[in-house]
Amino acid sequence: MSNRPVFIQGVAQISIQNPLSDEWFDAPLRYHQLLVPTIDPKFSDYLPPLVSRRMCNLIRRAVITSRVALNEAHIEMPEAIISGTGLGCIGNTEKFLNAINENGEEMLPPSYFMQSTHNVLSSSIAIDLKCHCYNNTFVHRGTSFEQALYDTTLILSQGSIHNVLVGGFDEMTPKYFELMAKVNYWKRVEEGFDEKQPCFAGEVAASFVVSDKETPQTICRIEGIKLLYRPSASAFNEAINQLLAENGHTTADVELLLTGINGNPKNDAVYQQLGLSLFDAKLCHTYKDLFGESFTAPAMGLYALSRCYARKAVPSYWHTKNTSFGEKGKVSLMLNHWNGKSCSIILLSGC
Amino acid sequence: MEELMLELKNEIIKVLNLEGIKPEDINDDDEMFSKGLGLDSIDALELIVMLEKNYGIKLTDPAKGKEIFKSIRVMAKYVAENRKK
Amino acid sequence: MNNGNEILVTGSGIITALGIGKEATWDALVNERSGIAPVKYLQSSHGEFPVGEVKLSNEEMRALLHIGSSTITVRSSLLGIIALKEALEEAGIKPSDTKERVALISGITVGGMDQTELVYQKLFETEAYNDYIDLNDCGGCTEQIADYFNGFTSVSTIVTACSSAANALIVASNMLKAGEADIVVAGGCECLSIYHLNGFHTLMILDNKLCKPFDQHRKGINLGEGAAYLVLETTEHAVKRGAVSRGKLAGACNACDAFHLTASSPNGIGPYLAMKGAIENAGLTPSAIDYINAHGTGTPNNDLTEGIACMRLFDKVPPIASIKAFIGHTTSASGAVEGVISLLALENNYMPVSLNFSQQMEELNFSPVSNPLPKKPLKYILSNSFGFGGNDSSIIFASNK
Repeated sequence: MSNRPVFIQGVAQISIQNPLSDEWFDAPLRYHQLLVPTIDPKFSDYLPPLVSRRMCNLIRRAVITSRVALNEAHIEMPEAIISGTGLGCIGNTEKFLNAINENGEEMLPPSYFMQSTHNVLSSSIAIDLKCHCYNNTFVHRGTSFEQALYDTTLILSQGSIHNVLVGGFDEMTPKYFELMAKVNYWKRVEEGFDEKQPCFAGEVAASFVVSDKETPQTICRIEGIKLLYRPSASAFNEAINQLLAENGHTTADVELLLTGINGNPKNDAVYQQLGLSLFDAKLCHTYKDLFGESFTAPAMGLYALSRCYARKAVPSYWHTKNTSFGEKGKVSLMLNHWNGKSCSIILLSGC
Repeated sequence: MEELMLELKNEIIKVLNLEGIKPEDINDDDEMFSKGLGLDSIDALELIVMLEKNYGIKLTDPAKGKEIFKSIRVMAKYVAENRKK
Repeated sequence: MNNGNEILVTGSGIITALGIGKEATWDALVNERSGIAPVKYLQSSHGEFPVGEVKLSNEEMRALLHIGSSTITVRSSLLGIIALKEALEEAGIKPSDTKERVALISGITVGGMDQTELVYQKLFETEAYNDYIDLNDCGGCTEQIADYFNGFTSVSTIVTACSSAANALIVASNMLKAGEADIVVAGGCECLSIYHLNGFHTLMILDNKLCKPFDQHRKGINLGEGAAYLVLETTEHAVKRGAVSRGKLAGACNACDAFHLTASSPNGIGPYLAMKGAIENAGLTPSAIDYINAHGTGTPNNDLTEGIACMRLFDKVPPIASIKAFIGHTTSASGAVEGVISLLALENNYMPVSLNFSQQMEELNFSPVSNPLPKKPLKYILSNSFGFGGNDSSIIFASNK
C-alpha cells in the first residue's frame, strides 16, 4: 500500500450468526453440523417484493448489508463499489447448468444465467444505489475479499476517490459443498460433523464503508494489506515484519492475531509456517468457528475485528494480553491463506 | 378465453416470481411492460421460454415478444391462435 | 504527465480465432480475413451460430505447451498460458528468475466451466474427476496459468464480464503508480463453453450469421474466445532494466451504467462516463483521439448505446471500428485482446476496419470504418469494453512517438 492508512466507517453482516447485529459477540450461535445456512433477515423489511423478485438471496444480502453499512457511515453515495466473491451466485449457476443437462440446450431460463456472472453482486448494489462510479469484482478463491480490499486501498491512495463500499459475499449449496468435500476442504456428509476436526461450511455477506480520512464515524484503521502468492515461510514472515515496520510497529505491538484456522488439520498446519511462529499462541484466535469456512470468510473476520474495535473489547472467548483493546500503539493482524498458495496479511489498529 | 387468461396470469406470477401479486391484481387490458407490472426485457425473455414450454410456441425475434405481451388479453389471443400444445 | 511515471507496455501476447501471436493476428486484420466460422471443437448442439473459435484443440495446445496428459487443464488456462508466454518472452521477463515483484492480474468469467459442464454428473458419481473441482472457479484457472510459469509474487482474478481484462489493466496501472509491484502482467482469457453460448442464446443476442457491428440490420453477437496479456511497468523501471517500450497505457476509466444487469441504458451514461473519464485521465480532450476500438458487439442494444454515448462525447466521432467481426466477442479477454490490437494499430499507423457493414444506423450520425483509411500517424486509440452488469471500462493506448 502507499503507506497511507484507510478507515472503516461502517460495517454490516448477514451470515450464519444473527444478522445485522452484534449478538455473535456475547452470545454466539455454536454449530455442530457440516453445512450451515445463513440466517436471513425479513427481506421485505428492506426490499419491496417487485424490486427483489429476481434477486437470489445472496444478491439481497449484498444490497441490504451495503445499505446498512452506508447508513452507519453517514454516506449516501459511495464513490466506488468493489466486491469479492469466490463462487458468486453458485445456486443460479447450478440451476442453469442443470437446466442445460435436463432440457438439452433448449428453453433455458435467462434469469439464472444473468445472475451467474460474479459481478452481479457489485452491479446489483450499483443499480440499487444508482451509483455510476468505479465498480469492480474479484474472484480469487480464499483471498477474493482481500483482493477487493486491496483494490480499495489502491483506489483511495490516488486521492480522487474518498470512500469505497467494499464487501465479501458467498453462498454455499449442498451440491457444491459435496464437491469441495471430495477434495478435502471439509468432511463429507456421510462422515458427519467431527468435534476433533470441526471445520464446517458457512456463508458470507459483509459490507464495509472504507474512507481515506478519519471521521467521528470511524471504527478502526486499516494500516496496511499485503497479498502474496505461494510465499515461502520466510517470505511470509518477512512480509509480516515489513508491514509492521512500514507502519512504525514491531511484533511486540500485536495484541491479537486473527487467522483462518478452521479445524481442518491440513489447512491449520500451514499457519504454523505462515505467521504463527512469530507470536505467542495465546494471542491467536479464529473466526471460522463462528462464521464457518467460505472463500470470503475473511470478510467475516474483518467484520468481527472491526466490531471489537468499535466496542474497544474482544469477546470473552478470545483472550488477549491486555484487558482493554484497541489502545493507541497496539495493532492486530489478520492472516489468511488458501491451500498455502494465495495469502493475505491485514494490519489494523484502533482510533 | 377467460380460463386461458387466468391460466396465463398464474403462469406469469410463477415464472416471474411476482411475490405478493394475485391473478385478480392483474387487469386483462393493462400494459404489462413500462407501466402496470413494470416488466422488463428479461421478463419478456422468460415469457418467451414459458410460451415454448407450455404451448409449443417458438419465438425467435425478441421484438415480437413486446407486441404479444402488450396485455393479458393480447397474449391470450396470440396463444389461442398459435398454440401447438 | 510525469514521464517517469508513465505506464509502458514492454511485452504483449495474444491468441484468438485469427491465430497465435501478434504477427498472425495483424496479418489477418490488414488482409481482412475474419476468423469467424462454424463451431468445430465446442460440443454444443447449437451449431447454427458462427463463432470465433481458436483453431486448436485442447490436445494441440497442450502439446505446444509440453503439458503431459496426466495434468488436467481447462481451455481458458491453455489460451492464457499461450498468450502469456509470448508477452513474457517479448518483455524479456522470467518471473521465476528474478527477485523483482512481478504480479499477475487476469480477467475471466467462465472459469473451468468448459470442462465442468462436460463432466458435471460424473463429478458426483465417481472420484475419478476430482481434479476438475479446484479448476472450476475463476481463481483456480488463474492459478493454473500462474503455476505454469512460477514466480509471480501476487496473483489476482477480476470478473466483470466483458470488461474483465480491461479492469485487470486498470488495476495493474494503479498498482504500478502506487509502487506496489515492479512489473504487472495483466490481461484476460476466456474459452467458449456450452454454458455461456446457451446463456447468450437465452438472452436472444446471438446472430446466426456473421455479426454486423454498427449496422442498421445488426442482429447480435458472434461469440469468440481468446486470451491476451500485456507486460506493464513504469518508464523509470523499464529504462533501468533496458526494456523496450511497445506503447503506453495513457489513461483509463472504470464506470458503471447502473441501469440493468444485461441491457445498457438508453442514454449510455456508463459508456459515456467511461470514455470521458479515460480521456480526462490521460490529460487529453476528445479531439485528440485518432481511432476508437469500439466494444461494438453487434447487438441492437450495445451498438445503439455506445453510438449515442460517442455522439454525446465527441463533436465529431473519430474513425471507429469493431474488431468483433474478425474475432468474435472474446468476452472476459476482450479488453486485453483488443488492447493488443490497438497497440498494433498504433505501431503500424493502420486502423483495422469493421467488417460486414453496409448501412448506417438511423439513430447515429457516423458509420464505422469499413474500408481501409490512408495510413497516417496514430497517437491515441480509445478502446472500449462494456460488460454485463453495466461494468464499463475504457482505456487509452498511446504510441511511443
